[in-house]
Amino acid sequence: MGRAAGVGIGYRGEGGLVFCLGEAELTDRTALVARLHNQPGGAGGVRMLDRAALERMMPHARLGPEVLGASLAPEDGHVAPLLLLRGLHAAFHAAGGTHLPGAAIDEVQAEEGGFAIRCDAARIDARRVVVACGLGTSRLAAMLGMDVPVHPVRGQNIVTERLAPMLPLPASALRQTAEGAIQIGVTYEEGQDAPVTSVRDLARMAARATRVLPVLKQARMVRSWAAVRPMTPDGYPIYAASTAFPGAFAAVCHSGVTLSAAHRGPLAAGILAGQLPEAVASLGPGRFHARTA
Amino acid sequence: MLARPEAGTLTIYFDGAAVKARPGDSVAAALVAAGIVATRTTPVRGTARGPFCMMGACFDCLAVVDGRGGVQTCLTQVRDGMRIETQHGARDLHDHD
Repeated sequence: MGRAAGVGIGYRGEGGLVFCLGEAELTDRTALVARLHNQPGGAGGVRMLDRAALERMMPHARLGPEVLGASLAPEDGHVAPLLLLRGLHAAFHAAGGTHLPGAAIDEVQAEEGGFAIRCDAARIDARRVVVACGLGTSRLAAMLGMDVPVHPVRGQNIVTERLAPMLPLPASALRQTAEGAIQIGVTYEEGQDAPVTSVRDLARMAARATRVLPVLKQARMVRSWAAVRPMTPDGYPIYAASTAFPGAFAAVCHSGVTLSAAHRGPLAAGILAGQLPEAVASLGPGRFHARTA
Repeated sequence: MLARPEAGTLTIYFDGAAVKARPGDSVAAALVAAGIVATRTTPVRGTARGPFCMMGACFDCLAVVDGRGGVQTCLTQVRDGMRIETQHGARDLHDHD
């Protein structure tokens, strides 16, 4: 699981944390975890840790005085997205795939026995089509009779220089890669589709990170960036199979990194077999039209 | 390799060894002039790195200067008695450096 097509992907599966700064955050988080336990299917072992337990878990991190505790989700984990992407590309090529980076799709049309994709004045014929193109999904899925609503949500990120290990587990908006860089994020800016950072947001993110780990005040930021998430109305993935044009599918989610194993496994197998797997039956776009149907 | 017009009047220390430097030299320039071309090792593979761009862009010349890690030696002027140490791997942050 730590490798994709023989490439290391920096996988760590020991769980993930959400730090609580101050009494109010600790109270809110504790209540949220209690509500999770009341959900059908349980909470996947999610539990609260007090400061003493956190300090035992993170002997190389000196937590700020406001850190009163954290929630721990044991099923959470981390992969290095760049290494994962490299692994996925390697696997795709090994399986005989052809990648056309930057190719713009003008049109997808159902034709006798399959589909025609018009792409930069060329034509690609296919027996099956999966529209999986983030914020571009709505436009192309509509050509194949699928209504897949997606909107942009911007996120900003700070990356520090590589530092000695201090964070053994990924945390919400704060994690350390295997190579040592600390990643600080992240914003959720509804409707923002320009991938640009703002000093105000970066400063707020950095300020919070230094309240969790005050030693980060000395760390050097080496870059910051913004990206735009493809977000569905309820934040959960949409997997669609066209009823008008069998053989056409759509898949969109945030994040494809988190869900890559599920996509690579059961979802891909289902699409190859011509039918979405039962496990994603409740994740179709029909859930957004239930009341008007 | 590099010819110097005159010997430096300042003394800095690299991993404990005295190195002559001139007022106004950057730490990186003084080290390279003394034949020292590696100031750190990389965090992942431990490969030697040293001054490359000499203008603050490449971050290859990092070293521990007077106890503070992650210092760009090409942007730091020498001071008499300055102590520079090889930075081994990723920088270790301390509470009061």
